Amino acid sequence: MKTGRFSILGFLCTLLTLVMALAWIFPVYWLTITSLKTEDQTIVVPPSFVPWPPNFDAFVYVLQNSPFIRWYINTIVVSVTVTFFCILFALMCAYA
Amino acid sequence: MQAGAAKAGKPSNKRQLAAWLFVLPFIVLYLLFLIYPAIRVCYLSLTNSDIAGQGQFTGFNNFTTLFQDQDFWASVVHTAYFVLLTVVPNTVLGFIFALLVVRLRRFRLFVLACFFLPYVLPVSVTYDAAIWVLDTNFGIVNLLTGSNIAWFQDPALAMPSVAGVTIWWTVGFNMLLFIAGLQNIPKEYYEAAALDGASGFNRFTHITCPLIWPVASLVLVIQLILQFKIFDQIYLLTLGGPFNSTVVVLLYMYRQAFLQGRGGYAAAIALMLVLIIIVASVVQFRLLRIRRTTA
Repeated sequence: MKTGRFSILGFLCTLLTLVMALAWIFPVYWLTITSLKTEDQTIVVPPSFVPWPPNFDAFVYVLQNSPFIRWYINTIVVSVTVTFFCILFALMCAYA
Repeated sequence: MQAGAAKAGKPSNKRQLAAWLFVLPFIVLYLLFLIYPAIRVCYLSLTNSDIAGQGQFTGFNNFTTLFQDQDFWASVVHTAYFVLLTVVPNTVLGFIFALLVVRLRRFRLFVLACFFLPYVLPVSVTYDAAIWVLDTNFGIVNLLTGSNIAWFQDPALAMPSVAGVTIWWTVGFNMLLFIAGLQNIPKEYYEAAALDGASGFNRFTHITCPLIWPVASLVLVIQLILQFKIFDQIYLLTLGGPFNSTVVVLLYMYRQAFLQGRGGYAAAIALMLVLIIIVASVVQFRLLRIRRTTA
């Protein structure tokens, strides 16, 4: 598995791995930076890959115009309740 | 529970009662939310009920209609196509990624995170990312290549695109399973083979492949069952369009039940899907078992 020697093939494999990894993460990166663009910037040609300065209007808009905090609390309530009762009942079954 | 009571000698009634009390919440929930609905679906499939479950008993009418329903069989074909496009590529890609990650020393955590991160995203976020990347007019892929390929609107491309998004989304988990499998192979095998003069390729085909096969067959079975249940991605990305070319079984069932209000018919479709999944799993399990013993 490990030879310790430098080999062209090994280097190419690592390079391929890194390229694949970057391609795999790219949609998430793109989603993130799109959220930091203004409405006009999101559809501008050519697209910018590093929107600078970042624009947080979209976040502000979401927080001000929708009960986002409420939705977040709903999610937390459901997930905590489900986790708690799942563990409780499973624990009781295992104990019996 | 039984064994514990037997070991303690005379099973005291008090202990029995305590055990039952401990299991009771689970059994009640299980009967109420799993067994009862399952029986109810079986019954509903024999009636002409609406979505509220009110209707007359009609025998096997739903099933005879179902067997002559062109749209249903089209949805079965679409589902099979999707399964074909995802199950094996997803497994093979997971294996390749695992091989690539395992040999890394630097960047290992970074690469692992890159491949696994999409898996933790909820399906609606996956959909949003897919649209920003693959949208016809504003998707980054089409902007950069200067094309106007309609990834999700072209009948020939829609299903492969959805399959691609699904693979991008879920391959990380398969990769993790394969990495765990690869790390379970003792290093001594490779050392012994290297001492005997086996080449890298031979070590791969004669040590890695047979020893990873149990993991691979597990991943294949999980994938098959999972991908037959395709619904979320289709619902979000294409909604069955263009021209019904991506209507899968569950989407068809959803339409019949919640848009057409044919609860009984939808129950029949659901039972057919269960049957298909069971048959496919059993067939695949048999095939994989045979390969495993001869390998």
